[in-house]
Amino acid sequence: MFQITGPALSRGGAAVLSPFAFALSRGEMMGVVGPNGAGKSTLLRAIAGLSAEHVPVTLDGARLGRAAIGHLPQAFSVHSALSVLDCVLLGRRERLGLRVPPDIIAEAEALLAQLGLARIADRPMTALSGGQQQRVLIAQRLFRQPALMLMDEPTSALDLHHQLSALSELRTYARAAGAAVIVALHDLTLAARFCDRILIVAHGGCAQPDSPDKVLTRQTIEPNWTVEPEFLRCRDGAMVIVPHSLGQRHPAAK
Amino acid sequence: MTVAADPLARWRARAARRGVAVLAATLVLSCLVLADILTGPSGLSLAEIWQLVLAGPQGPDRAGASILFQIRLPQTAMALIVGACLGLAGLLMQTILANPLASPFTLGFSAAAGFGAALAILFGSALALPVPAHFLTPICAFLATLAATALVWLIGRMKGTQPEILVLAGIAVMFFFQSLLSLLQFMASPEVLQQIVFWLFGSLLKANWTTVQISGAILALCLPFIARDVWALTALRLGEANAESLGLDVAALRRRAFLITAALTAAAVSFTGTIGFVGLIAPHVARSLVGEDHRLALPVAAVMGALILTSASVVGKLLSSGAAIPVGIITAVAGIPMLLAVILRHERG
Repeated sequence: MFQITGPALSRGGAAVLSPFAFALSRGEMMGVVGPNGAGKSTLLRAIAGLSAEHVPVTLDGARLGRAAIGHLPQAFSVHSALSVLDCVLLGRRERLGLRVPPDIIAEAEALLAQLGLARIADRPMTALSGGQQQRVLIAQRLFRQPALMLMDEPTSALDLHHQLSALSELRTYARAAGAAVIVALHDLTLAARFCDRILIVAHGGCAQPDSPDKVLTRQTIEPNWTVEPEFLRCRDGAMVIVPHSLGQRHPAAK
Repeated sequence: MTVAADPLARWRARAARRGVAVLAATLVLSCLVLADILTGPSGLSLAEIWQLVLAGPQGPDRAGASILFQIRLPQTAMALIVGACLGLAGLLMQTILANPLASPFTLGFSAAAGFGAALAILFGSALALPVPAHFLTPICAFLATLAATALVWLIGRMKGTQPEILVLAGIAVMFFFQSLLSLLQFMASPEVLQQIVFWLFGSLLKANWTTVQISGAILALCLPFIARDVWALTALRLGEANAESLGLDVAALRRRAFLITAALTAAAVSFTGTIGFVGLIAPHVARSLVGEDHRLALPVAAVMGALILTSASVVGKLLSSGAAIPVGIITAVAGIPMLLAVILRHERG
């Protein structure tokens, strides 16, 4: 069990979040949702150890070091001519010597093949689109194999197909590696579909995380996002949340 | 699967080609070292040089041995060491500051060395310090370089050591030391002014085995620290935010690299004088040959720095059969078109 307990967080000198505490199970994927500026990125950066505030993270009572926490920032633009495969290898930079063992290279190649990136393995990062760069950086973090993975809007530049495959890969990683994944998302439907629990960050605080059905309700969405949600169900029972501007929803949909 | 295997095969082939590029650069450097040893006003042939090598420093041909062991070999060794120092320092600077135009020269370290040297030349004899006269100038140049580094770092620290602040601080420090140097030149007598100007030219003529050993020892001391950070420096090429998120302490890396850069620059310019453009050009050539993987880019930058300076030494001797043209002048003249090429290449992205 992961335990995360943090003090009040600030951004640029302004208070953003009040003190918080929550727990995650091994194999769990938790979504962090909230309106713009609520503090999702601030929360993830603090947990990753990238802010002035100290946020202790423990796994089964033992302190988790920074090396065991993976973090993908929201701003991902890369201006380096490093190849895709070199970029993925950097995920384990602490464990690499001057010579990279062939088995590590083979492992990186296998991961690229698994994520559908093998055909661009030799391409420089600067030659990739924003979406391709984002997929490579997700691959890099997966190659890092952290115990706790923090992803800040990892699907922001991805097309529909790759949004689904990226979130699916993250969930598979959490299950297979016994790790935990916290993913900040704007798309509430994707969050409801892929995350075991959802944490709402809004109005200067974090609510307690719970299952998507319990957290993503009209009572939480309307005041926090200032939209009128319409809840639909797919054939497989997955929840779809369609936002409408307040007071402008089509009467037939009510 | 065959479609997927092709790019990976290409990646492996490119890695192999980079290894060949390293070997080729080293081979070209070896040829230039030989050319540098063979070139000089005394006109020693390859066979004569070989005889002198076999006879050793105490051989029967005292004049020839003196030319080879006391003049040519120390100068060639100094060109290798100084070039390697400047190439490494340039690449470290460009990586930690994420700026393709950063170098020890553009950030004011060389200007500070010039000021330190001028200070020693102008006031050294009057101070009567317990230091041999021929060492006072390099010591002052060394200390001034370290002082300039500290100044740039302290100014940058006020704004969280952000790369753009460090670059601006470096430019300010460069103009500051250049102004002070101009003041000293204004105050100097014609004879002293001539000494200062000669030092500023940047020449290998000042080299001897003692200076080679000192500069070589500083370079050797820096190498393990550079080797330790090769992956961290490569990760920094992905951008500061990405590198931090990969667990890299970017501020600590910048601090270490800045300190090493200062030591390398001081080791290079203190005994030879101001040599521009090598620290700027060598990293670009290295990256174009082997890419941004610093396991290869750093050694190749060192080799390219040594290659540029050795070439300049050979050209300087060939152009002027009497007294060799100082390498600082050659690198400055040749460096301008190279710099333009770098800028245009960078603009094209």
